[in-house]
Amino acid sequence: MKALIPFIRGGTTGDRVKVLRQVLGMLRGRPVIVVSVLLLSFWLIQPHVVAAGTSTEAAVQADDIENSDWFDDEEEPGEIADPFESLNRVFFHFNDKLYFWVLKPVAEVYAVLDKDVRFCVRNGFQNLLTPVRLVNAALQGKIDGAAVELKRFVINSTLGIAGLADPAGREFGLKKVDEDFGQTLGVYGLGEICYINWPILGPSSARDSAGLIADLLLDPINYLTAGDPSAAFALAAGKRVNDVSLTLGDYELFVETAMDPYAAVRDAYYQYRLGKIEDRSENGE
Amino acid sequence: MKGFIVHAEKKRVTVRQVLLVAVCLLVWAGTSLSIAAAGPMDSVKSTVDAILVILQDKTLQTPEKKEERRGKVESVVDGFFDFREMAKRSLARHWRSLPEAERDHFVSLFAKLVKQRYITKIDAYSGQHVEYKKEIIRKNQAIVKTVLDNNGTLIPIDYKLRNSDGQWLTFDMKIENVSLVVNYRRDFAGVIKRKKYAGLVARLEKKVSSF
Repeated sequence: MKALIPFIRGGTTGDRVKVLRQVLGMLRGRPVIVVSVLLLSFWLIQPHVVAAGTSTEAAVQADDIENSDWFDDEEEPGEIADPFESLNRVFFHFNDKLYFWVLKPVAEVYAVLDKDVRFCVRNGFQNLLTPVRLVNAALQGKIDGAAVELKRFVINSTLGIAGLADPAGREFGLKKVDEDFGQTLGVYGLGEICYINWPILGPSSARDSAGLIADLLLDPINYLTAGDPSAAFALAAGKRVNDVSLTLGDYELFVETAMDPYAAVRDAYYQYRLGKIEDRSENGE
Repeated sequence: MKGFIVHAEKKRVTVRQVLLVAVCLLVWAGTSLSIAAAGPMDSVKSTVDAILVILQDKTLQTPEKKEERRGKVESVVDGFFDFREMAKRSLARHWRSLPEAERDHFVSLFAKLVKQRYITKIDAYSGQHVEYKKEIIRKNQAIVKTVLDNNGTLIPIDYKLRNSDGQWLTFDMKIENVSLVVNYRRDFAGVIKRKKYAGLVARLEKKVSSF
């Protein structure tokens, strides 16, 4: 720590570089410190984000602004840019066929399992993904949300038997806080950039795709299956089939009642993500 | 003495009349008060409750009663949605150039489309819990915020209502922040751009006839 004194008092540039090297050396191999410093600096740099998350007054004001948008929505908010539309449409068509020819038939067979069992499977996957939601809630300055996720993880991993049941939500009223890095980037003011309809993965945006990759770093499944791509694929496919089996009919209905299903899905994705980032819809405040 | 009795009878009659008038007034005031008190959230609540009664009716749960059940749900929904306003807002600027007859035709097609998208799902209802969060009233418009708890997954559903002749009618709905009107507006605008209004109606007719 003595080495820091010349740095503060205004030593030479060489001194500063030396000190900086020492500090970096101290931090090496201590990821916990790095992460907490990053978190702290995020909060310090963006006090208004924290304020918006904690002060009810600010929340009420923001709420009024959001609602006034919906009160007179004759003025169109901008649509999501889609420079790769023709390629996206090809992938949309591919995913559509994938759904009707593979995913749906498989999910229909899988759906012989009782609904409660499938909810348990979904809960289990969601419990594993707690780090993603917790860290992103924290990054967005939603301290309460991060705390809820931590409590949920502790309660559901123990009382809920490895997260298969959701006593935290059912008995303690602690509902899942759905945050991801795409939303975090959005909260810090980054727009979608452009729409991307990935093959297999489906609707996304440039921003949310970057978010997806960042969230992989926090996904324990990724580490559990490290070096075993077939296991990773099997788990991802299992998760997808389980999810689809719980929402069978939703996609069909939406596509049937849209004039241009590709454009309708693109807009629904855009509006949905905007809502997730504004976040007020979830707690209904 | 005789005069007194007559007077008393007269008096009795007047008391009865007064009572009758009072009761009438009370009933009238009661109904008009309850109408006045039926705010936007009450309108949403009573509609959702009415639909729940139909869905929970054991005698309607057999497969052969499915059509009848859907018909009953539809009639409740018809009294709750303002399809004309929805259609108008979904067409946005294209609505202005339409002649009245075309407008009526479009509204009837659009109503079928919306009901297909939003009522078909109701059949899958299995005791989800609806929480009414709050209502925001601004002039003759209102937003009612609700959350549907679907086995631990919270689905926010917001309604936008308009007061027309003392009745709150819904003209837009947001499910997970996706607005029905905005989604259809963008969907329709894209088709109109490429295929003109006639192309949109042709596609609508084809879709609606397949339900």
